[in-house]
Amino acid sequence: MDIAQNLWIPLFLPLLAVLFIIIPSAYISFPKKRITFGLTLLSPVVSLILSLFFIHYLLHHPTETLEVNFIFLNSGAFKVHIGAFMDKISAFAFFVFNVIALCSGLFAYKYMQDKEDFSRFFILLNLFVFSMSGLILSANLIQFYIFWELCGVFSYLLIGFYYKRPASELAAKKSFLINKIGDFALLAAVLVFSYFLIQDTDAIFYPLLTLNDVSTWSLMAYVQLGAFAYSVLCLLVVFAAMVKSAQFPFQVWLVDAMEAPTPANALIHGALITSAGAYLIIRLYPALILSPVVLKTIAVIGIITAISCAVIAIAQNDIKKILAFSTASQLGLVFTALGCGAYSGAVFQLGAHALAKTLMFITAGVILHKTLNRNLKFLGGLREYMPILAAAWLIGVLSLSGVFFSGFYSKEMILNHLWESRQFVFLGLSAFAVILNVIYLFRSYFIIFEGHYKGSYDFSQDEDKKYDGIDRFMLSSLGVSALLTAFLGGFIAADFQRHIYIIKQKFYLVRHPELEISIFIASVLTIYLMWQIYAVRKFKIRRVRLIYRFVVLQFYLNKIFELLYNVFIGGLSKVVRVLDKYVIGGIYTLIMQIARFGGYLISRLQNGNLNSYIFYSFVFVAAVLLCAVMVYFKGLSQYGG
Amino acid sequence: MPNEIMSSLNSIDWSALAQPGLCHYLILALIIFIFGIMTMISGGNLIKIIIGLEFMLNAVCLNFVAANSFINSLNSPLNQADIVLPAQKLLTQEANASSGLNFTFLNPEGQVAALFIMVIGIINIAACFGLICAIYFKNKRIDTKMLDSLKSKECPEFEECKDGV
Repeated sequence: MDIAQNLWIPLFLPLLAVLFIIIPSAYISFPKKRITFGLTLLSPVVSLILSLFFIHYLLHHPTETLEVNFIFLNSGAFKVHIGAFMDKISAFAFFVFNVIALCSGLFAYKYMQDKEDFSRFFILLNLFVFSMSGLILSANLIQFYIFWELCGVFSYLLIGFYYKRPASELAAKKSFLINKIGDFALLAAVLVFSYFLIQDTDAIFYPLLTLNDVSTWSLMAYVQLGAFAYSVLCLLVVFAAMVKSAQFPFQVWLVDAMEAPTPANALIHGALITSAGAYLIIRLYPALILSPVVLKTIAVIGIITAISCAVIAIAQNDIKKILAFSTASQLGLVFTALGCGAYSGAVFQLGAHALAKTLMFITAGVILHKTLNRNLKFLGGLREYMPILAAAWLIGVLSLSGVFFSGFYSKEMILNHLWESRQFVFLGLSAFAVILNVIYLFRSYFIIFEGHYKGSYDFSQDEDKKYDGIDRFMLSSLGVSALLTAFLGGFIAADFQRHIYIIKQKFYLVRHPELEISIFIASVLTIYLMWQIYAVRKFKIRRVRLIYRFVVLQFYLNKIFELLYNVFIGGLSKVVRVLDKYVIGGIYTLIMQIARFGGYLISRLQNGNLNSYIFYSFVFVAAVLLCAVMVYFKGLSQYGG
Repeated sequence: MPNEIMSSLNSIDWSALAQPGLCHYLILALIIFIFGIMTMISGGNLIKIIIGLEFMLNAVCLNFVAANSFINSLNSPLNQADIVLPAQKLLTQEANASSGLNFTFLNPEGQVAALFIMVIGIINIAACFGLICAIYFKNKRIDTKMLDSLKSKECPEFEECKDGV
């Protein structure tokens, strides 16, 4: 049996879960509904097991890739295929994605169980899992775009999940509009690429813009476009990835996306959608290599984001916002790595970051579920009450900051490559970004888990409960993600670079112990500093009001976006409203006035005056006679008197 | 079409108007018909309208009778055929011998029509008179200005009705 045919199962399983489990359950009453929704959690499990099989297969046949396709749209030379494509990168990404889907599904099962919109949430969650699977396993760029848009739609629906709150709907609208800009850029790029492909192929059965073999069609476009136009085209793709992954000016949508329910945050904004942008660049890397300007741009954007978002995160007081900025910053590091050529380091960092971020979001969700308070000012000293959560958060933070666990391996890969390829500016700035990450991450750890509890939740009721009163499902999801975060690096990192690489990346197996040890020591010193400041309270940091304001308002980015929105979209909507009311409405008004005028004229005939009625009857008869006479004379002249 | 009117006007023999003939009767009937129309249109009185109607009917009768007497006479081209003349000569001789009149009657179609028209006119008058009596007994007046209950809504100026159609 062709193993590639099994690729359909993980692709369509979440969709089937939606159709066959959730929709009939509308007829079942509420308590039993939860069981049926729990069955939908089987789909990530099945996909996970299948992905392990695929990874096993691919590791034993290293040069093969698996691919299945069917024709979705067929019009002449333009055929769109939908299918699944598994090579080692997508196998790794798919594995990580399924772990995250499983964890957040388990978490959501208990988190949302008291809320009335339980079914809607699960439908949206599964549909999002479906669209993300389609994205990761996509076989060509057009399918990639289709699922990219789908992800945007479901992300919008999940952010605006509590739609009755005005903050939620504003945040959802903002995220969708900002993502739309990126979608437009990506659509333009896809269209240009497919234009240049269609001109030269002879419409054989070959998927258009296939991701199996990016260099073929990108070379075609490069040859026909020339260097400059091709760079512009690639910059469009980079722009789309930048918007989606919440890079520097566009991180505003991610920050406001924290209005979503926390399981949605765990699934989407921590790990997945933001990874989609980086995944785009990873997939199209052979196309982007052809113009070095583009690579440098990616690196510059990445490093700017990493540093600026880390700086903003230091000033935040809301757990979920810290995690949002952390996502943006870590993805900035991924972009930097990609721009500088550290391909395998970037892919591994993507996976490690996704797992660690999911862990942290789930932990934050458990804290929220218990104390119902997001603000750091009201938390503190939770280590005595919930040591399991403290351990989980500590694992996540250590991994993200690159001190220990999986994050250490990923940062090591990236920094080693930067040193070897002698890009010392980027190396220095990346190291600086890593230290900034350490600062805000450990600030959050020490504020939440050390010190005294300042909130109002009574922890004594949980004292004799097992596992500190955390629910079993939530606990299991915490456990799975923590396990993988901690040990994924150790198991995989050694062989990772041998399997996932790109030819241009020359320096992938070299290690520099002096670099690693120095970064490690710097991080430990920073942790000690944070401990002294926030836990032991030895020094007190004074806020410089001006800088603080500037940073907290995200360098006034929100206001800039609001201004642009009001000017452009508001102006456009005003113009369109005038057009609609006076130009198109004017046509209708004209027709109406004509009909009314005719009616007015005819109604003036009925004036109740008998004499005029008699006159009109004579006029009518005379008119008929005149017509008859004219016809008679015409007949005479035609046929001869 | 004006060309046809001009050509037909030019092909009429207008010199026939010099001597008295059919045209004069027709023009007279037309004038009386116009009198009838004017009376009927400007009627301030219901009876006046009926009188105008009578005028018109009388003019139409005159038309028919005049046409009959000129077309169905012995000297018209209609009766100049070879068969008709000897037969008519025999008949007229016998008619002139039996009656004391010096007049020849041929096809009386026009006169018959005139008779019918008069009768219908009288019946018309009778029916209209019934209506006028009913109106008079209801309103005590018989002028036309009071019969305006079918008038449309007061909407003198066009701009006032702009908004609510």
